[in-house]
Amino acid sequence: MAKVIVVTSGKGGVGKTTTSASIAAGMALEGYKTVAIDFDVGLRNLDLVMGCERRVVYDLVSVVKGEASLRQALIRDKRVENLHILPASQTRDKEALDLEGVGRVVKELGTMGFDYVVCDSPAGIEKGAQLAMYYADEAIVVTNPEVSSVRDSDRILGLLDAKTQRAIEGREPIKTHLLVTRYSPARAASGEMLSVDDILELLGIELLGVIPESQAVLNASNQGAPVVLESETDAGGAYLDVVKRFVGEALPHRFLEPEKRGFFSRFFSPSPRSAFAG
Amino acid sequence: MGMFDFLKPRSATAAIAKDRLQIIVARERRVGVGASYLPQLQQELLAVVAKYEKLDLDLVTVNVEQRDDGEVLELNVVLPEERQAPPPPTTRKKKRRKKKRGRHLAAAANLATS
Repeated sequence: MAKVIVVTSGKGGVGKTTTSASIAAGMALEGYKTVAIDFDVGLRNLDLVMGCERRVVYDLVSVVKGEASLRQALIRDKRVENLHILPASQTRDKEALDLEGVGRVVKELGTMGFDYVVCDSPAGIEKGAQLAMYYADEAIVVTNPEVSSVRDSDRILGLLDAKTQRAIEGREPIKTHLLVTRYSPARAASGEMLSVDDILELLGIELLGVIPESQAVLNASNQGAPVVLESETDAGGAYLDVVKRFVGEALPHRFLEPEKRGFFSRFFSPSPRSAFAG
Repeated sequence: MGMFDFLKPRSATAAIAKDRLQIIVARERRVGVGASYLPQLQQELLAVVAKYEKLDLDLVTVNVEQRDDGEVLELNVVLPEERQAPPPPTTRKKKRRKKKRGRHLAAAANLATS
């Protein structure tokens, strides 16, 4: 049976698609047969972030509607073995998906030997987001250190507890993980930004990882490559840690504290933080 | 440049953010389950009241409030100033009435948090 992971947040623009792409690619790098599904019907972007936008022929909606087979619709990644993408439809409306159809797709992916199914949720708390989370075994809640994102994450946690198959059938509840993205340790240390500890205290779930605010994320998406493939960068390395932690490796958390900097760089760098904040 | 940054006043607003979030998150968790049926309850109550009075949806508010002894369901109906239909048999002069009913929903509150 494939393990189904939903990447969700409630709020838009916090990094769900970036995270989905990197988690899926990272799982595949670790040797797991993985598929990333884009649930954002009408506003598909996962294919663009993963660099396969020109190879999209069929999509999730055409599979659910029986117009294409799952094998026809799956796109095999050219860089990473074991990595597949099931894109969303650009033209169909959101009502094209239904629980039963998505259930069939998830089940068939399991019989095809996939280890992980990563569901990239659309923003919001409506039908699209609820469909993306319905069959999930585990959830990665992506949160920015910012008030509206934290509040929306809390709402999403409520939905994960109530509106998923596991909740409705009274099975063991979904395992929830917190991923803090766009984090600036220096700004958190100087009290300008909610800290990871603040967010953990507010949401009360286990921390999976911290992704620092990084130019590498934009560089990667510009080129259509999941940032995890550039594991020498700060954000890429952080995502690789997240994947390894997810599959059971005990790695210490990074990017919680500001980097220690040398005397001269403290005074002569164009860093946005205070010279004495570090 | 970084050289004189330390001279500028910094605003440590994260603590304010955390305090505000603690309050709003706690409130939203408390009414989590209750909130889901409130719009429908409001509709149905309105339908009943509308059988006797002409009124707007906006004039009916339904709230669940936290009190010391549990949760209280509060219903507020504001009747319009001018009656368009001929007055019903009651000859009451007062046009604006306030109905307030309290009911304990402790069981629902427990459901919300479990």
